[in-house]
Amino acid sequence: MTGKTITITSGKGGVGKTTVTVNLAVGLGLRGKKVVCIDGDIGLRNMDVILGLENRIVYDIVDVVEGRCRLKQAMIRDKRLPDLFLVPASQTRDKNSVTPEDMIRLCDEIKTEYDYILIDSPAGIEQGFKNAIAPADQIIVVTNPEVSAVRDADRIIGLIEAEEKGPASLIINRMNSAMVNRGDMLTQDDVNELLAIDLIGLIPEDENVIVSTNKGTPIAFEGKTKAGRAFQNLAARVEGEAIPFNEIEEKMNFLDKVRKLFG
Amino acid sequence: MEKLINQIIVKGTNEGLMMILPEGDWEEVRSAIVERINSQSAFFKGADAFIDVASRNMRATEVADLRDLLGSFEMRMKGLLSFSEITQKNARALGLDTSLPLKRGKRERKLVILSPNEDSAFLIQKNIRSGIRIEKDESIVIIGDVNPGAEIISGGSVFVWGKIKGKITAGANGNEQAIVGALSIEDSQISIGGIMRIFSKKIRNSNFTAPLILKIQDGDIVAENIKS
Ligand SMILES: Nc1ncnc2c1ncn2[C@@H]1O[C@H](COP(=O)(O)OP(=O)(O)O)[C@@H](O)[C@H]1O
Ligand SMILES: [Mg+2]
Repeated sequence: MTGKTITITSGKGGVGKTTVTVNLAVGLGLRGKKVVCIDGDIGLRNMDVILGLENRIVYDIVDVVEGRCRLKQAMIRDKRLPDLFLVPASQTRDKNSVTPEDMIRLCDEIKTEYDYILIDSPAGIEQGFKNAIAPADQIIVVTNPEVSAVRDADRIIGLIEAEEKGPASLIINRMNSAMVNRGDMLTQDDVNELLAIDLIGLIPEDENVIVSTNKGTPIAFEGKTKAGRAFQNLAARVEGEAIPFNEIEEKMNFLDKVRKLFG
Repeated sequence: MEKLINQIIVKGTNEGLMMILPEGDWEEVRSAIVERINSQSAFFKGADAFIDVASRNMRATEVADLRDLLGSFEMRMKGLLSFSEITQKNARALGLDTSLPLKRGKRERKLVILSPNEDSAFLIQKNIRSGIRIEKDESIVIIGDVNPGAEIISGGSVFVWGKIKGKITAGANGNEQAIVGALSIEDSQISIGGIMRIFSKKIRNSNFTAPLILKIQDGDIVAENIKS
């Protein structure tokens, strides 16, 4: 088997990279795929918390790289999905303890047995980012419909193009349909127009995301919630299915619809 | 072995500072640069810098990170010199020079012949994204958009077969004959021959199929056939 390595990154912090990585992993896991998540945010790990696995960590990625344990020993199995694993980041080591070459070696090894490797990248463009994109076959950039996040996403996309790792795909997270309809937020079209890369996910703002994070049960398990359904759609698109982008309800009256048609 | 910080060689040139970096682990060299600049911060502050990394292969992210790092000390990274083709390619992709500019004398002679009618231009075929800066003596033609946060600087004219949303400087050496062309201009700052104008609303040619041309007229930047 040869799996695919997907890195999730953003430039700006706090836009939802970790949330996306975990929920995409769950979405793919629910589709019966074998998935390994790697927490690339050394020193600031939090994927284990979102998956509700923090008290199971014995070894982490630095232990693997420095030969203190085998890879399999550092892979924590999810409580709910038997084919979903997490390789945690180290909480205490500095970010230079892992190199891009280490990441490539690690992913090459995992790829022989799993369908997907999802790497959660830290914010910024320093060592952690470099490590996260080195092994990537595909890069997903997460942004929010907000000017500063989009600007940072643009910069990261430029770097990914320069690294010849492109074309990246885009996820717009935390779309608030009420604000979009009031004209208080950038629309999907505004973001697409500037970034000009393929959209692969559209995730609504949903308070259930925060509730589920606190419970350690990723929202993608709950397909009835707005965000949960959006993450399941994302997983389907990553698998190559053509799912229409209907995650955000636009409340338009008839006249607006006509205007949009002819606009 | 001599400490890395002492292996960094700094020289003054006509075009700015030249910093020659030692071999060795990049993260360690990076820390040594920080240490070196901190030890003489007043000297480095505001300087234009050319960095020579000899045969080191640098990733694009490393080049961008180095430029940010120097920027955080208020230095401007103008060029990255290297024998490595990978490093050169990545530096060029980020709009950095990969050789020292021509010597003064030659440069001035070149200036005289710079006009919108010159027969060579620098062509780029992609969107110029935030954080990328492209600076050339010759005219620049871009097939793609210039996004907010990107910067284009030319001694000649700048032509964008796309939207201008970033910062454009044409006729950077004072050439008032230079022009700026684009399919549309929105929210941007444009200078020609030292005269600057801020555009805050979207404009394009009233004839949809024709580009918008900006030039200097009576000391002001004017656009022909505007549709807003
Ligand atoms: N679609 C969403 N709706 C509501 N809250 C969200 C959504 N996506 C992320 N969040 C919240 O935003 C915060 C930052 O998300 P996180 O995934 O940690 O970002 P990053 O990894 O990019 O720093 C978290 O508190 C998370 O619960
Ligand atoms: Mg995170």
